[in-house]
Amino acid sequence: MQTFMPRVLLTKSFIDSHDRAIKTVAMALRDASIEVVLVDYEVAADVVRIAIDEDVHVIGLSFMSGGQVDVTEQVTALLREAEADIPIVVGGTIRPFDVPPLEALGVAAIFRGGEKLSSIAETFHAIARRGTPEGTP
Amino acid sequence: MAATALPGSGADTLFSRLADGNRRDLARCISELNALSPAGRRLRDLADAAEGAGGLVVAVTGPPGAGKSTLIASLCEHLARAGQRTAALLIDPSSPLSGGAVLGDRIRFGTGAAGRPDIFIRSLAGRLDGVLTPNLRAITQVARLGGFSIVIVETVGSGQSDVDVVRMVDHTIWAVPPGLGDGVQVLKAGIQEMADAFVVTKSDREGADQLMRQLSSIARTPGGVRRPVLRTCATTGEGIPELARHICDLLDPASATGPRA
Repeated sequence: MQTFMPRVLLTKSFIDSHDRAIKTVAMALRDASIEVVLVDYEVAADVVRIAIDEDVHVIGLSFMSGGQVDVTEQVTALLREAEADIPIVVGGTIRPFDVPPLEALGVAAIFRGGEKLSSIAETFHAIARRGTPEGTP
Repeated sequence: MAATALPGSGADTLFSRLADGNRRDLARCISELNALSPAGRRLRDLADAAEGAGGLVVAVTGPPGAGKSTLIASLCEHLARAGQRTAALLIDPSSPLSGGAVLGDRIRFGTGAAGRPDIFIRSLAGRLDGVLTPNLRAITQVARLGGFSIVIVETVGSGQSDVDVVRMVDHTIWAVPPGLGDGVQVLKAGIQEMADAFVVTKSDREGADQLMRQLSSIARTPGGVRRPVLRTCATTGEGIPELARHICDLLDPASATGPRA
């Protein structure tokens, strides 16, 4: 009976109080039949542990003031270490010079603002379908 | 993960690995069970057949905004520190329109719990009318088989007549904050008849004393059992050790899986 229902972790640093964007995206994904786990992290390791326990298909990292590349790099490395193949989507205040290093890290999508919410939701759907973390036994 | 159809035999393998204590296996089992997938149905049969995982399943129910998540966050840490590996299953509603959900209970836990091997937290979207999940019992079972002796289920914010969860757990706590109504509210039929214990949350707020008196007045069941009424404030920590002790006292020492390395 149940059709495929993507699960997405949307997260930002606990220190970043700019939560309008992440909440707007959370509601848009909810309306697009996606389960969203909304939580703040302190360190990159939190993101990875939470993503594994919550068994999500996609991790969405939201940035406003800093850490765009550093945190994404740490999360990517820790995911690899944990052998968890979970795609990352980055959004928020992503400056032009952040884009090449983020792409080099292999993020699945970058939202720099201005995208339609419907297209953001479609992108999450597409990435979730593509991602097959840990495969099947 | 729900994305990939897990063959029936995969479910058997996954289930048999639960006792190894790999969090990813447990997480995956829960996903399949809550997605009501074919693998989830097989897991449910396996979990039902394995009834008797020991431990204890406690539901915390109460109105929206009562402070259930914050209470459970604080409680989990106390229980873990007391040597009880604890899992929290946090249910939020799924959308009646889209089926999607914003699962926002986990945010109350802060990030300390994320790094603890003795605490497992999982956000769940309600499925039955967007509220409970049909495989809840099986999910609590796999959590216990995965090594978490105490499983705490947070219901969605509930109304007076939301009593279904009581059948799915061993012990039900009704958590209520001050200021929601007068003394007539607690006299009514519904969840207050079914709960095994009462917890006043946000006890630093006005009206807590009055609510304690009101709940104490209905604490005795028609059968003559006096149910505990506990006063808590998760932000100051008041009453949390007492609540943790109350829960530990309910554990059957013979059946508890107990602390694991």
